[in-house]
Amino acid sequence: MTKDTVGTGLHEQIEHLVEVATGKVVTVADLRASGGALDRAGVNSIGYINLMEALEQRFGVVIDPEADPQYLVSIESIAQFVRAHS
Amino acid sequence: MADRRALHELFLAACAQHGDRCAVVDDGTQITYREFAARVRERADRLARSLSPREQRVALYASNSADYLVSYYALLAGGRLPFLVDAQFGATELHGIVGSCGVRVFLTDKPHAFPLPGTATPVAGSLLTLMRPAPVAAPPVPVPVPAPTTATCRFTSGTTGAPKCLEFSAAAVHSAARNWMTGTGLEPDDRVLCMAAFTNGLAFNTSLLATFLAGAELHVYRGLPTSSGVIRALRGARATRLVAFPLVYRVLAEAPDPDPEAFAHLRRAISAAATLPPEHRAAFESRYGVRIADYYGIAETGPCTYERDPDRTAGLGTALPGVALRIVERETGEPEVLVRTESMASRYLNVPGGLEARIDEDGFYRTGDRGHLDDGRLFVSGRLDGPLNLAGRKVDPTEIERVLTGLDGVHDAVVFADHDAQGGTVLHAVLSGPRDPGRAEVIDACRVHLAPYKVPGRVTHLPAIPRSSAGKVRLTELKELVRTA
Repeated sequence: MTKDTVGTGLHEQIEHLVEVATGKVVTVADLRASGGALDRAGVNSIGYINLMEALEQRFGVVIDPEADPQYLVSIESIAQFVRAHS
Repeated sequence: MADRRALHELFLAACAQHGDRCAVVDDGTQITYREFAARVRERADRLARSLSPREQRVALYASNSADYLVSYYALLAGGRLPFLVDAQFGATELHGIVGSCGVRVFLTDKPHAFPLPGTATPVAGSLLTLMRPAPVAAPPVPVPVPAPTTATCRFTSGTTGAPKCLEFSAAAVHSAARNWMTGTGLEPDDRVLCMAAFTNGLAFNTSLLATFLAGAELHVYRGLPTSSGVIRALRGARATRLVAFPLVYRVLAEAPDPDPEAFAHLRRAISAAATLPPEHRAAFESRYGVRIADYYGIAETGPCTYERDPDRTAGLGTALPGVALRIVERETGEPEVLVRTESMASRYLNVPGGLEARIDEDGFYRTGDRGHLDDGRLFVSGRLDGPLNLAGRKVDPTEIERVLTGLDGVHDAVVFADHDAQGGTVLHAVLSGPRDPGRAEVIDACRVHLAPYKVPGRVTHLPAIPRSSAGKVRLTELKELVRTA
C-alpha cells in the first residue's frame, strides 16, 4: 500500500476497521460521539486484538501496545502511526 | 500421604533440585532456579522491612512478569497471605476487596494509575510498589479471618460489588500443580509459553508451580496476544507448550504472517476457559501441524479434565488425577456437571457459606455448566446459571447492574450475554427509568468502576424491563423487546 492510498480517507478506513473489529458493537457513530477515543467508545480487549490484526493486514503496520501505548488510543493516533510507518 | 510442606518450601525445594536450569524467561532475561530462589529470599527480606507485622494480607495487583513471580513466592516465604488480584480490576472491585477481605496493602506495577487514593512506597530491587489505600469512613464491618490453612487467595466475579475471594490451602495449590504435571506429562525439557494472566486459574494452575515442580521453563508473555506477538514469542522461546484462550488460536489461525517455523518445537497447544469453534481448531491444526488439547477447569475447583488422546477432536477430555466427575439432573431436567477435586477452594472469604452451598454431601461442586459424560469424556454445552462466560472470563451481571442502577434516572437494569456481528459474546445492558443516560454515559460510568472487560458493549433503554411476579427477568421477552427497540 502506498502512502497516497493510506492518505485517502484514512480516518474513515480506520473507523471502519474498528467497527468490524468489534463485531459492529462499536459503530462509526459511537466513535465520532467519543471524539475518536477507542476506550470511551467501548472498544474492549478483544476488539483491540482484532483491530491490531486488521491494521497489520490492511496497512502492514504493527502497533506494539507495550512499546507504543500512545498510538492505540484514538482514530487520530492510529492514523498518525499508519502515516509514519506504512 | 499428603505433602504437608508450605508452598514456599515446595517452591524452594524445586529450585534446589533444578539449580542451574532455566526457570523463567522474561523480556529476554533468563533466570535460573538458583537465581530465582535467591531473588525470592532477598525480596522476602525487603518486604519484611517494608511491611508491618499487622499487614499479613498483601494483594498482588500487577501484570505478568518475573518480578510478579518473585514477589508471590517472597510473600509466601515471609509468612504473608498473597491475594492475587486481576490487574484489570477498577476502583469498585478494589474497594470491595479492601472492605470485604481486610486487604490494606497492594503490590502494584502501576502506582501512578492505582484506582484508589493512597500512599506509595517503592520496594527496593523491584518493579513493584507497595500501595496503601487511604482508609474510608464506613460503618464498622467485621473483617473475616482466613482459615489457618489458607495459603493463597484468588478471585472470581461476585454479586455484591466485591469479587468473591477464594481461599486455597497449600495442599490444594500443590495438588493442582502436581496433578496437572503428572496428568499432562509436563517434563523438565518443556518450555511453557503462557498467555493468561497469572491471576487466572488457567495460568495459576498450569504454568506456575506445576512448571517449577517439573523443572521446566516458564516464558512470560507481555501485552495483547496478537498473532505477530505470539508467533515472535513462540519463536524466541522455542516453546514446547502453549497455554492460551481460544481467541489466541483464532488469531493464529488467521495470522497474515503465519511463520510455521515458530511452531517447530511445539508439542502441546492447550485451550481452555471458553469454547473453541471447530473451524478455528481445524484451521490452526492444519496450518501449523499441532493438535490443540482442551482443558476444563473452574476457579473454585482448579483443573478438572484434559484431552490426552490426540485423535479426539470433540469434548474436553477425561478427568485429571485426583478429579471425579458426575452428571446430575436438575429439577428442570437439565444435566449439570459436578466435580470433586483435590485442588478445591476451601471457601469464599467474603461470602460466608457461599461455596459450601454449592457442594453436595459427597463433596461435589455444582458447576452451573450443562454437560454430559461419554465413556468418561466430558462434554459441556453451555451455562445453566451463575456468571456469564465472556471469552474465558467469568462475569456476574449483577456486579454491572449495581453500577447501572446507580446512574441518575435509572431505576432498573439487566445485563445479559448477547452476540456481536461475528458471533462473539458481548455484554448487553438494558436500562429503564425516567432518564436515558445513553451509551456513552453508561460506558463512562462502567469504565470508572469496573474492569474493562465488564463494560457493556451494547446499551438499550426500555420503558420497563419485563419481570415475573417474583421479580425474575423474563429474558426471552426482554430479548424480543431489545430486538425491536
